[in-house]
Amino acid sequence: MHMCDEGERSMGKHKLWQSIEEVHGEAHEPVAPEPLLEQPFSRRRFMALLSASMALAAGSAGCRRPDHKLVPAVAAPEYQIPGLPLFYTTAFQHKNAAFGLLVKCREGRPIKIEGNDLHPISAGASTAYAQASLLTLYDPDRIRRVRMGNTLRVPLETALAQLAEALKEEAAAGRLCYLCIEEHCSPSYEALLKALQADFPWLRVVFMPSFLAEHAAAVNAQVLGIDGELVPNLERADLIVTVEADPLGIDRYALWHTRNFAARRRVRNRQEARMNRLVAVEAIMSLTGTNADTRLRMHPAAFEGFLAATLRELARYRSVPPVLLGAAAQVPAAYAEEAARLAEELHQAGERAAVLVGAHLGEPIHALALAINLALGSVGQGKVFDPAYVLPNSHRKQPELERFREELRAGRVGAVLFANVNPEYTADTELRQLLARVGRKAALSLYHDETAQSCWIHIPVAHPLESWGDALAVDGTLSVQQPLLAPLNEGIGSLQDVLIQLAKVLAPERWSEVENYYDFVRRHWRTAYGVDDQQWERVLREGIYRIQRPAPPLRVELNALARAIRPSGLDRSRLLLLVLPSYALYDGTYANCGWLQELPDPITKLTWDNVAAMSPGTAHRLGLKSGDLVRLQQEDGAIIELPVWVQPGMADGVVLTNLGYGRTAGGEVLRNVGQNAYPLLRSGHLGYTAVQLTSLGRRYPLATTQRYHRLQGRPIVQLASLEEYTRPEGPQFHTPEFPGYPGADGRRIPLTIVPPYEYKGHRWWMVIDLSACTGCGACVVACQAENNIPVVGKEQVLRGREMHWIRIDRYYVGPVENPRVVHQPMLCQHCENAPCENVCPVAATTHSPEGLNEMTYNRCVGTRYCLNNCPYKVRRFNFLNYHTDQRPPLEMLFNPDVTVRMRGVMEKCTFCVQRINEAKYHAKDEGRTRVRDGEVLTACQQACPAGAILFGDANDPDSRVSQLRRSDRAYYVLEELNVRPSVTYLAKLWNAPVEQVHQLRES
Amino acid sequence: MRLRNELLVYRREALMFTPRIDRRIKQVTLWGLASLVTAALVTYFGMHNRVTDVGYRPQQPVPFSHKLHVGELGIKCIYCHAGVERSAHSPVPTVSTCMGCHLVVKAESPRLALVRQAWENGTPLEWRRVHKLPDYVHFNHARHIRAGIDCASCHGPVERMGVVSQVAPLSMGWCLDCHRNPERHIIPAREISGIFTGLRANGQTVQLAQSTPVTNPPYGMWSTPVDAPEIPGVPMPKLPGRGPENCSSCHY
Amino acid sequence: MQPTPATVATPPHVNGQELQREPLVLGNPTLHDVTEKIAGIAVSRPSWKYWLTLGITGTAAAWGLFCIGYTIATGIGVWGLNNPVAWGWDITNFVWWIGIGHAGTLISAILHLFRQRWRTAINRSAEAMTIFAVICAGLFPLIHLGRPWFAYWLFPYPNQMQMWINFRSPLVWDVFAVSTYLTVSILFWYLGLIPDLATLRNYVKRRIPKALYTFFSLGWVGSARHWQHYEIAYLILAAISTPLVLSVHSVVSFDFAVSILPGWHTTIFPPYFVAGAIFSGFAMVLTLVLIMRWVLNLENYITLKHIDNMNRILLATGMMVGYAYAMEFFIAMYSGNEYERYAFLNRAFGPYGWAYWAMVFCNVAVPQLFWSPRLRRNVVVTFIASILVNVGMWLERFVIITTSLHRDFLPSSWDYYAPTWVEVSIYIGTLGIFFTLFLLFAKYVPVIAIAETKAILPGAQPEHHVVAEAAASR
Repeated sequence: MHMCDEGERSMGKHKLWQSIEEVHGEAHEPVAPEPLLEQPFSRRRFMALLSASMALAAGSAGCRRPDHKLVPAVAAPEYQIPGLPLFYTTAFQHKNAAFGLLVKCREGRPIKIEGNDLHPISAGASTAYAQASLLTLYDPDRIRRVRMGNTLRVPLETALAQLAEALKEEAAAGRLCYLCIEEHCSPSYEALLKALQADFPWLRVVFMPSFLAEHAAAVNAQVLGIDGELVPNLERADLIVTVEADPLGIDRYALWHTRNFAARRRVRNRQEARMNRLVAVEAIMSLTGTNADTRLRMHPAAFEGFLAATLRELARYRSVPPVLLGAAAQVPAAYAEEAARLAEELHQAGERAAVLVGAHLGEPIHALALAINLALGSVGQGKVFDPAYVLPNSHRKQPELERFREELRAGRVGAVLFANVNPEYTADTELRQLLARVGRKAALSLYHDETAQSCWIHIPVAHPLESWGDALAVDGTLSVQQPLLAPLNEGIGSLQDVLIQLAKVLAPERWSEVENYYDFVRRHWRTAYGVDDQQWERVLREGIYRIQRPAPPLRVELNALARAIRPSGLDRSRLLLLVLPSYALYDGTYANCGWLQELPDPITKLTWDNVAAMSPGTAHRLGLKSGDLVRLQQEDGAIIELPVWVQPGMADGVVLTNLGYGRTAGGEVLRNVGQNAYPLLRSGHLGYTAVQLTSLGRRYPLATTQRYHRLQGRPIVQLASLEEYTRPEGPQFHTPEFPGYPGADGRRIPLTIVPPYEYKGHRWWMVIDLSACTGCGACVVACQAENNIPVVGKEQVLRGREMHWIRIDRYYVGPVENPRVVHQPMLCQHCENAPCENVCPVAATTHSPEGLNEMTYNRCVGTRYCLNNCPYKVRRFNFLNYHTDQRPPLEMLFNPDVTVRMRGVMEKCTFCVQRINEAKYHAKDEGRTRVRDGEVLTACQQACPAGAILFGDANDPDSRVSQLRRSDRAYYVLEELNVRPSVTYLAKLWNAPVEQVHQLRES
Repeated sequence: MRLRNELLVYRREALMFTPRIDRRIKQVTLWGLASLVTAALVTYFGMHNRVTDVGYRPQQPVPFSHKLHVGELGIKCIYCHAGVERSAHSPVPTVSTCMGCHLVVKAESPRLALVRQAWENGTPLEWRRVHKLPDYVHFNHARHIRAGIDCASCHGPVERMGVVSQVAPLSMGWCLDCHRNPERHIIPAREISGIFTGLRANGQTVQLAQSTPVTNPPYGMWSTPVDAPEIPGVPMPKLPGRGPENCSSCHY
Repeated sequence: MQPTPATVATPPHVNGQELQREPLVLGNPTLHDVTEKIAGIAVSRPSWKYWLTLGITGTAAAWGLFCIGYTIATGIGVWGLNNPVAWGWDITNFVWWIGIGHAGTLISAILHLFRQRWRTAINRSAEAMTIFAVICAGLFPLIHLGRPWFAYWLFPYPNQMQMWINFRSPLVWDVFAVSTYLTVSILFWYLGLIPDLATLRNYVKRRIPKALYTFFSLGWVGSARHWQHYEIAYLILAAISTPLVLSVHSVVSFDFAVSILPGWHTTIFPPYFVAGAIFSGFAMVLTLVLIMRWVLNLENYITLKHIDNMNRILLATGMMVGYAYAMEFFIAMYSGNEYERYAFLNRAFGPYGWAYWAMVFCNVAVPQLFWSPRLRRNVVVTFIASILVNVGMWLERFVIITTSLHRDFLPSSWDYYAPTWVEVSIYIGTLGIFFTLFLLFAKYVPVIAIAETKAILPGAQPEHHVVAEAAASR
């Protein structure tokens, strides 16, 4: 049900928003069993004490239940039927990357975010960030009213008038006004900014990214004449070599990369067993590194040497311009034999091979990689590096920033507007001091963050899910960002709306005809893309509009490239520090989002903190253990105090920490979480810097969700190399031996004295492909959003009480210095012989005729025996009332189809039974007795970019799950227990030599 | 010898154990037992929703009479509760629905003052809720309506109620009774309810079934032109016409 | 007990010297002395020592009850439990208390059926201990629930939900086992009390106590018919509660045995648990009896022979428990089940190794002392040993529950468990409740079965004429 914009615009009206709240009253609010959760806290405590008698009284005759109100809307909003969801397409922007979204609304409030399956980037999948933006929308810490200095509740008009006045004065005084914006990929926004600059000569717009990593852009500009990053299309790559690049991790297009990467990993059967191959060369342990087929642990100082050697070796097979060879010769070679082997592989893969370099690494490395890619011919139209796929707004921003600094130093800047940027937190000391001198500062942002606090005026702008806009994806897909509900901040519009209103005040004569930003976007689309109203409706329904982006002509300046190739003197002897964005919070924009704070880091499994990760060797040399507090100090005296984390697989002499933590203002959640690593960036640039480490002799508690990292030789995760798998005799997967008879999946069912239950109708089944799963964690947040799973906070995670229904187990295989990593999503296995079911005294967990292991919260008394008896330990107990401290409007986030659990109640994955029921209703309405294959998507499956999770009906022989559960890679975790899980795992395949995998299996 | 003395001592002592005290003992014991039994009975029936909430009959802010509108004027249930055949909830009519008629019909009636006021000020009416299930129960109106089950099966003869009251306990046991043997409890769809028992295939209506007797076709099954992907030898587990009885069909 | 006219057998002689049974009551008191001695406790003013101890235990009990309230009001989260370890001190204490109860039943029921006359000195206090222990035990399954106010859902009663309990769950069996146990124990205890209460009724002078004793002695006059009915009832109850000695703790052990956890899923559990229960029970009886004997100076009634006998039982059951430990390990190694094997290695050498070895010391090493007759009759040694055994048996339950839970199948979910102050306080609280009740019992109820003791006095039984005359001539 993609609605057209008429209904949509009426959604935007304030009156309607009221009526939505009213409908909400009548709607099926998900609150846990009365009366415990509906009372104020103190009262609830009291009642909890008396609740035994309450339970009696509540049921007994004569005692009237409390009065409930039914509050229908005054005028029924279009398409709104209480209890029925509406879906709207919109766009999600993560900095200058974008993909399409499909948002589910109930009673006018968005309750779940999915990827737009029509959008070529997302294709139905989504990221943790996208999922979490829903929580940000309802974040109680968002500022609702305009604030000037210490005076709150200023009407927007007044504020804008004063601001305009101030700007006029400054302009009259011949000073400039700067508008600092974050990286974006919205054409209309760009057009708006251009228009503003055209109208107001004294206005300058400057990109203010939280960190700079533009060596790629620099090299591209010098060599290819493209000022920007080329986003590789991994779908076209057979051999991917990453030099500390993290396309599957912190890359802004990780979603797309993961999809393309995994699409080449899902081996269906032995006949067409072909996979791409990923070789990771890195000093840190990145998510990409954990998914590599071959991982080369290397000190960053050796990167150039290694690539140079590879380039020279490559010259043995194919023609490499001598000028480049000459340049490469200057770089002392490193890891020669590995380089030789790699060169051979690269040559064989030819133009279907690609070398990716981490954005934080220096120009020489990017240059060498580009040289190799050119030599391989993987740059060009339709190749891995397609000049058509230039990341929007990825040009070098340092020059403009420098000019900004100059103007500031010269005192020619009279006013600065911060549009959703937070320099007080991200910028270096010098810039902060310079900014402090500016008198007239205004912030337009969601939160009253560090920067907003330093400003004279703070205008709370609307959340992306509340505002119009558009976004351009790297593949040239345009999508419209349409609001899902009226702004919660008392109707103040989006950033662009506010800018337009400001312009109206400044130059009414020129801006009068522009009604608002929606109007502006429509005009822009009409003029720029010739989209008329009819097409516009289609765009809103489908959420996509493809435009032709002319690929810039490709020209190669070999000399420039050769010039860029030079040894960068990284000092091996010093301890090197690398600061990167964190997987959970990225650059700190999402710091106030509990879901992301509690999303375990895919590698360390840490929550609520950033750490100084170092290799076991380094830690041993320095006599440090995980949790020891250390002080890291740079030459210029920048200091950070962090707890140590011993991270297997990292190179010795390297320390890694993450950005995004240590925020001081802008919400309750982000308070006292981790340390701010921005001061350690060199003038905003990512990259290795020498540091001095001193132990503080204090310990610090680290909240990790996984404390043991070895498989203990248990056949929990099954591995094979692709080669071994394709052999005629096949791989030797572990299968327990017992007398029995063959089951539907071709595996033996142990002999029993009771005949097995015959599952008629549907038999719900899940298949998880371990060789596709990259461990990104999108499923975890998606599940949290769908099933009203609470955030418990660091203290509870420390106690081991995290509530995630699906977790991703991460095991290290092999030597501790350079282990291989396997990710295993673990959720309720819905066992046929479920051990949890027969130990529950009150029958609160039972088995459904469709094979679901049902958990009935309202029957649960909380003996916790089911949890003890669950071999997978996937059940979660509400030790405390985790949902009670919900501040409004957070309760609007709840999915009304899922009960909110109170304390003392067990919960666990339900296979999204509410979605199953929904699908069955649809089937019935269409007169079908069965649900079609693929009609039910569990939240985790829907979010998974790798397509590693599959859900369906195992009774339907043609369904994808019943085909896959018969696959020769299929196995059950802990099959020997004969609990007969309903989740089939497909063994992990590594595209690596057999003996390597065997070694690992033995270890 | 010595033992006999002991016994004599007892006898003598026992004289002070008078019949009165003996009676007292018996009384106390009896009363104790009696109170225990009463406590047990109170608990037992207290636990029964069979006796709770039935007959709950709150006065509504607006004296709206289903008796008049449905019973006498013959307005079908789903005219005002529109969407009930599609949604889990039975929507409560908006003020605009009322005004749809009452702009012209009885436009001046003082009893409609509140409604008009709401309409003019855009402030919603606050009705008092009669039927309320706990929030952990996911009852779905549409499913039951589409099975040809009449509103009256649960809500009673609303068309004869001036002020609506709750006629059924709405307890779990009550639900299960009907799910197990519907033919005993269910009132088939009636004209007055205006229940749409047709089918939707690819968006549009396929066939409009009139309200049907209880047994044929059984509840939850329709004769339909839409081909159903049946799997030979794998019938649906739910008995034709029976409601599901597993927990997660209502609690999740 | 009324004397049965029996034919007097000629006693065995050893070189002309006549063999004498060791008397069960020393000091050769008259029947009246016995009454004076034991009933006297009820009327005598308690010493400051008594009040002090009562104060301490009472405070502990109050504090424990407060912490229980705090837990129920806030949630199980105030305990140290976490995801893999969902049972900790709560269930440990439950099993421990239940186990302690068993000695009482064994002494009163089985020893009675076997006509072990020496039991009369201790059976009363042992039975009291049983009841109080079971009360403390019963507390834990209740408060360990996430939503204790719904505890009544564990009982099968007709309800509007048409929901029945799940009889496959061992927890349900527990409910029945424990409640049965409590009922039978109370009946048994009370029945045995009736004649003595009558004695007290006649003994005390103050009005209120007299009234109370009168009420509770149910008009006992000690007539022959009373005695006959009493005897029969007592015998029947003994017969009923004898199987309970074995069944209750077997059922408790099912809580673990029917699970699939390595370290829990073991067939040896029922006998193992019963032996352990009797072991810990006797240890607790000894602890109590020795204190009582010292405080109320009952040396003549609770003689070294009694202590000796009980120490023999300690030794025997202790070795049974030790055998169970060994056998568990053997089976784990022998089974070839890697999870099982790991569970037991982890038990002995994992993070909780300290608890394991402490347990082995207390339960297996310490009882070995009692091979020596001298130590068996040494009050101090016995007292210390009994305390150690109590500790050891608590550790046994802790080890079984925690070590099996904290590391089971998937290493990813392994974790460590440590209790919070709340859990510890609740445990101390139950100890407080237990001792408070026991002190009140010791004050107001005959701590030694007067009638039965009188029945085993020299001369009360058909004896060899020499003794009889000796008694008569006094």
